[in-house]
Amino acid sequence: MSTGKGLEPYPLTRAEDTNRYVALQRSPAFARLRSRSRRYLAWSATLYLGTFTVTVVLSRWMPGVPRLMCALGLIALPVLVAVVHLVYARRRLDPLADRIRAEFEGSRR
Amino acid sequence: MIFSLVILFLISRLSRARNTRPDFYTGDRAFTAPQNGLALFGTFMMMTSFLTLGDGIASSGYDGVLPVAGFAVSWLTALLLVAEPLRNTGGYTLGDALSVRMRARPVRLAAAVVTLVVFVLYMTGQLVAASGLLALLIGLGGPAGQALIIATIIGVTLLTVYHAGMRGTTWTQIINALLLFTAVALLAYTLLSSHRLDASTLLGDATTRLPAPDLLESLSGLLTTVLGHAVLPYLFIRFLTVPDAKHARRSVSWAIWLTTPYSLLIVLIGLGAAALEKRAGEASPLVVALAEGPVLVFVASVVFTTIIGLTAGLALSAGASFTRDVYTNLIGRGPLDEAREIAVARRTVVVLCLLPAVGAIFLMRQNVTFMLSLGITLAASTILPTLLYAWFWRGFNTVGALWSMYGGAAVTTVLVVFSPAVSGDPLALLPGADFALFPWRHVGVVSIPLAFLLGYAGAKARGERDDVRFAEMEVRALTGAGAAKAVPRDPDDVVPWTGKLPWGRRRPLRPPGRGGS
Repeated sequence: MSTGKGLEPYPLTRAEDTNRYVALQRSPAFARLRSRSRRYLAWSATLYLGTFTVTVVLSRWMPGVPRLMCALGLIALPVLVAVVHLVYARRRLDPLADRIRAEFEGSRR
Repeated sequence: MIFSLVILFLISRLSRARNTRPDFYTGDRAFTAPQNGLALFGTFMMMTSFLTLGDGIASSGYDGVLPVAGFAVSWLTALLLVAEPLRNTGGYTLGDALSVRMRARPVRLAAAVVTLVVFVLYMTGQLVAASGLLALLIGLGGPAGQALIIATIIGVTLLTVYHAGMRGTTWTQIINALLLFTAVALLAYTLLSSHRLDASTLLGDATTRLPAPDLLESLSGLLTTVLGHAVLPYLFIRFLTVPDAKHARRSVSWAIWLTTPYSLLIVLIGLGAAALEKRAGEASPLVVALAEGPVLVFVASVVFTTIIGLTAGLALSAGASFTRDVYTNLIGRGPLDEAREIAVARRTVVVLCLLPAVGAIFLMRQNVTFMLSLGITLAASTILPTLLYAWFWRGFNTVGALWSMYGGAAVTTVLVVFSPAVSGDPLALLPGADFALFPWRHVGVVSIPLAFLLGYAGAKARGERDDVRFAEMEVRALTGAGAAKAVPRDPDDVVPWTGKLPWGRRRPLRPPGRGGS
């Protein structure tokens, strides 16, 4: 993995670990984790950025909307998303990720 | 003032850093989620930002509330997109995280350049803002007084970082968080009780009193805050100080639990100040209007400690970046032994801090708010795209990373130079000149997508691809397999004059009793 000039000063990964990473990446468990977490992240990121943008735009353009309440709602938004995220990650992502991680670390020794 | 110095001194003595990499840079990665959450909150919601935000609400009502919401929502970027993969792939710096799958030398250099530029801008801006505020609060008028304050801030920062590394920095930030919350609650209480205001009239009273800024421009500023804050180097080094990604996630959620009530209090204070002004018929800086006597002294000392927590975090992340990404990889021949690397890091921090200090003294009388917003915009349009591509996109490569970092930085800089933040506006850096071709002072809405585009184009332009190392990056980012773990504490590590462990061994980092206030 050397670039030619100079040393690669931090040999981050041993060769056998690299092979393990490749094998894990191809495993069905990892494919499931990846598609699940990507779908979830894409949705939630779109949702929070979208909510934020739409609220700001609406509160500026619509005279009827109570603007201060919109802003206070935005301040409370992170709490809502964080609760959802904590629950979702614990139930749906962590078990898969833990299993894969344990597999990696178990096969190491 | 003396009180805060005493606290800082205690912290730096009680938590001396040992000469190991994990300890100096990341406090052995052993902080618990609530501790790290407090520290995140303490660095992030600086007293200065509180005061500017409060003033903003007082002078412009609703439009001033939106930035507060922007800061609160920016935690979501950290929570969802940055904290966990960063903890799983990061070592100590941005360069460490990227070189998992990129060619180390060029990306480390680019990462260091970006980190250091953001550091200088942010540090200078914060020093000027905080010293100006402190000069106002403690009545040290004149340039000499302000220069003295800047020198004191830098001195104490260096003391903290030099002696105590990440451990001392973190405890400073945790204490900041507690002090900050107390100060804000105290101000809100004074406001509501002594001035006989009640919350419902305040909320009814909030109306826009200034002409609203352009919608797109303010949206651009807000989105930049939302996206950029999470990847400011001094914040993201905090995601590396916990044992694993779950703790990183939980520490961000702790920061969110703290930020929301805090933001609501700020809104309350800002609206209250507006109501007071209306009653008194004159506008005055927020704190001066609210605080008198002992409260003022307390607020001043809180401002002082919070700026130390912030500058210490900034200095440490910049020192780590220079030492690891530039010194040992480009100048040095291969890895230094651990003790020497830390010695270099300590000296680097000293040298790096002097630069913004001198800059701040020169720019003392300028309007430097643009430096802060430029810092955030730069982070959002260089670090964010690079990291996201590096974690999630198979086709990304070294060239793409260089394009998105250098290109993003160049685009941002050019846009800002030709924006009303630099010229053509009474509040600009050069109010006399006018070469503002770009209409808005917040350029993020253009520069961030451009940086993403540049990263994409760069990666496509050179077809190189390293699927093997991407496998490592991807598996690590999502599962934490092979990520660095917390360092168990050394049982011989005792406080010299008591002969005891500074904290219990089972919960590695309980507060050293006397450190709290």
